[in-house]
Amino acid sequence: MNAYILRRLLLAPLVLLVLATVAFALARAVPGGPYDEERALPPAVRAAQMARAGLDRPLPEQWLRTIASLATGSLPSLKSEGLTVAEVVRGKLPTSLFLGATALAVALVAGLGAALAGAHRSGLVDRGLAAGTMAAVAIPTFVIGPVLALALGLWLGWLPVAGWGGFQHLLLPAATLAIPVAARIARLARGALAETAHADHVRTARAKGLGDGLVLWRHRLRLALVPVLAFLGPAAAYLLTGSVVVEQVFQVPGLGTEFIQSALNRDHNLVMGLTVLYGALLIACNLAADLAVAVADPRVRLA
Amino acid sequence: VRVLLLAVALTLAATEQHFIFNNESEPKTLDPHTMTGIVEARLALAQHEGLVALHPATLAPQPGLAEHWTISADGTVYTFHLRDGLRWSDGTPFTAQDLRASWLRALAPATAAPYAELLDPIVGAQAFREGKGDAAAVGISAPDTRTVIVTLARPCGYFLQLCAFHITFPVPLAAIQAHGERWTQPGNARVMGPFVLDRWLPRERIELVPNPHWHGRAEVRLTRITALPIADQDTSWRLFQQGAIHWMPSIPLAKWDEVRWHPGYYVSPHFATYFYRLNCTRPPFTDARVRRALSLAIDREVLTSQILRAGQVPATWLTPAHGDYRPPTGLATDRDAARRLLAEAGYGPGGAPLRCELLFNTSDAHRQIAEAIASQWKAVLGAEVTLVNREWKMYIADMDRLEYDIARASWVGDFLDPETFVGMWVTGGGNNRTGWSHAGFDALLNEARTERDPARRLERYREAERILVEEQFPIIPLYIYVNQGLLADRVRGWHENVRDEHPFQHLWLAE
Repeated sequence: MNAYILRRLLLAPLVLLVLATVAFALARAVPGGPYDEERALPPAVRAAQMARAGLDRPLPEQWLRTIASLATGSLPSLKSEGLTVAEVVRGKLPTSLFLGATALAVALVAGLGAALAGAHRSGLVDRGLAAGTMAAVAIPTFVIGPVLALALGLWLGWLPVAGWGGFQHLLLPAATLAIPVAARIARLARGALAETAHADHVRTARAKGLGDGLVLWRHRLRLALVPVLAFLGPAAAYLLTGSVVVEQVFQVPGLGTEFIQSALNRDHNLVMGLTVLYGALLIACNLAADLAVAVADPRVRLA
Repeated sequence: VRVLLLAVALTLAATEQHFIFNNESEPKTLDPHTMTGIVEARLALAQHEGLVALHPATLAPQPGLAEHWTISADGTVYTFHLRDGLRWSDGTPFTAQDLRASWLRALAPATAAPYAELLDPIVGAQAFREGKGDAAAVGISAPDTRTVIVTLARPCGYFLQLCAFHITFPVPLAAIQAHGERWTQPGNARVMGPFVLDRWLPRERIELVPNPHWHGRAEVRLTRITALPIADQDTSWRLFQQGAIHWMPSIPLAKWDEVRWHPGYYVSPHFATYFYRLNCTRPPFTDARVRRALSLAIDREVLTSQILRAGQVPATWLTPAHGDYRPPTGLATDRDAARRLLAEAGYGPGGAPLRCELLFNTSDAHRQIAEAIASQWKAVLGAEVTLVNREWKMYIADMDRLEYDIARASWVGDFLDPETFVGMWVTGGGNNRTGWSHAGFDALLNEARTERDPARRLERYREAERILVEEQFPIIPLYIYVNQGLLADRVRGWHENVRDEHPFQHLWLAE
C-alpha cells in the first residue's frame, strides 16, 4: 500500500503541470482579454497594461514565466490591485474550507443517520426518507438557498439572510450546501445497506446469534460506507473549494466566486492558480477516499 | 434570545451613523486615475476630492479643494485658489505642487490611465501622455502653495466638470512610490476626500471612516460607511428587506412588480442611453438608407411600455437632455418611409432579403428587447435577424474588432456635457466601434470643442448629434435609462440627480 501511495504522490506534480498547461492554453484561447472593457482603452494604454502583465511576450515565454512564478507563489493576479494569486487564495480559502468542512460533517452525520434509520425501520419511515432524499437530490441549491433565506431569514426573522462573520451567518449556507450532499450519502448508504443484508458474512454473523442492531453496526455499516467514501472524494474537493451559488446567494466571501469571476474577468493567472489548486485538492481527496475504502472493505486491494 | 439580540443590534445601528450600501461588485481598483467604472467611482467620491465638487442635486460646479477660481476672458487660463490649511488624511499639508504632480502622474504614460485623454485640452498634455513631450511643457503650474494655474490649448466648456472627475483627483505620490500598486490598501492611502479607507476585505466588504483632516469634517455626520460587493440583486433585496443595508442602486428586475410597491423604491431619470450600433464597414450597413430604414421601422414605445415598464423614455436621440442642452428630436417611426428607403437600397420585398445578426451580451432584458425589435424588422421590412448572445468579454471583443452586424450597446455619460455622448463618434475614436466616419460630423465636433460662446457651443453639438440620429444612423438610439433603486427611509441628505451620485459627506441617518 505504501508503494501505491508513493506512486500516486509522485505522479501528482506531473498531473498538475499538465493541468496548468491546459488552463494556460484555454484561458488564452477564449476571445476577449483582461483589459477589454465597455469603455475602450486608448491603444497605448492597453499596450502598456498588456506589457505590464507580460501578455505581450511570446507564448512559450509566457508559459515558462507563469509556471515558474506559480510554483514560487509570486504569480500576480491580473485584476486584483497588485495581489498575488497566492494572496487571493490565502484570503478566501479558509472561509471555503470552514464552510465546506462544516457542510461535509453535517451531511455525513445526517446522511448516514437517515440511511441507518431507514434500514432499521423499513416501511413508512424508509419510504418517506427515500422520497425526501430524492427530492433533496433533485432540487438545485439555487432554489434551496433562497427558500431557506426567505423562510428562516425574512419570514421568521431567526437568521440573517446573507453575510459572513458570526455563527449565525454559517447556518443557512452550510445547510444549503449540506442538504443535497446528505441526501446523496443517505441514498448511497441505504442502497448499500440493502445489498449487505444478504451478504455471506452478514448471514454468518446472524448465524452466530448476533442481534440485528449489532449486525448493522459492526458488519453492514462498514461495507455500506464504501460507495459513500468513493462519492466523498470528489464531493469533498468541491465543497472545500466553495460553491459559487451558495456564495452568491448568501454573500459568503469564499473561493467559489473567484473561480467564476477570474474566468469572466479573463484573469488568466488566477484561472490557472485556481485550476491547479482544485486539481491538487481533488488528487488529495481521491487518494484519501481510496485509502479509506481499502480500510473499510478488507477485500479491496490497492495496487 | 436571537430576536432580542437582533433587536439590540438594530437599536445600536440606529444610534450609530453607519451607512451600509450595496456597491454591486468588487472594485477593480481604488486608484482614481486608473478606474473606469461606476462601482469604483462611488468609492472614489468618498475618498477623494477634486479642485471642484459638484452640487449634490444640480451637479453644478462648486468649490472643492479650490475655494474659488477665475477663468480668463478667452477661456483658456483657469486660476484655482486652494482653501487655506488643506491637509492630507495623515495631517501633512497639501500644496498646489501636490496637485500639479498628481495631474502629471495621471497623464504619465507609465500610469496607463484610461481617462487621461480627457485632459488633452491642457497645453502639452496629449504630447506628454503619448510619450512625445515633456512634463515641464504641460500647462499646469503652481506658482505658490495655494495657486494652481491651468493653461488650455483651446477653450473647453466642460473643464470644470473634469476638475470634479476622478482622473483629476490628487493622489499621494510618496505613497505610490513606496507601495506601488498597493498604495490604495488601508494604511497606505493618504487621501484628500471626506472619508478614508479603514478595511478592504476583497469580495467581502470595504469600510470607510471620516477623514479627520478633511476641510469640511465638521459637517460630516456618518461615522462609518460599508460598501458590499453583492452581485446577486435577489440577495441584496433580501438584505434590504431585513434592514441590513440602507441603499441598493439597482433592483432585481425580475421582481420589479414586487419591488416597486416598496416605500423605499425610487426611480429617476438617468444620464445614460440604450442604443444599437451598426457596423458601417459591412454591407448592407455601408448604405445609410438601410441604417435609416432600420431605425424608422422601430416602435420604441413597445419596448418601454411593455418590456421595461419603469419609466424609461423612448428615444430617437442619443444625449439625454441636461442643463441647457436639448438634443435633436430624431426621426419618429415611419414604416412606409422605412420600406421605401430599403427598397431604394435594393433590399426587402422585390430586392435581396435583408439578413443580419444582432449581437447582445447575456441578459434577459437585452434578449427581450432584441426579440421585440427583430420581430418588428421582420414585420415591417421582411428582415431575417438572427440573435447572437455572447458572454460579456466576447461581446466586447466582437464589437472592438467590428465582427458584428448590429450590436446592442449603452453609454453612461461621464460628466454633464454633450461631449461625453457626441464626442465618441469622431472618426477612429476608441468607443466609436462602428467604423463610421463622416467629415462633416468631425468638423462640427471640432467647432463645438473649441467654441467659447456657451450657447453656440451647445448648438454645434446639437448639429453634430443631428447628423448621427437624423441623417447617418451609425447608431439607432432606443431609450433613455432610469435609475431604479431602494433607499431606506432613515437616510437623510439624499438628493436625486441624473448621475445617481450621492456624495457621502451629505448623508446621515435619522433615528
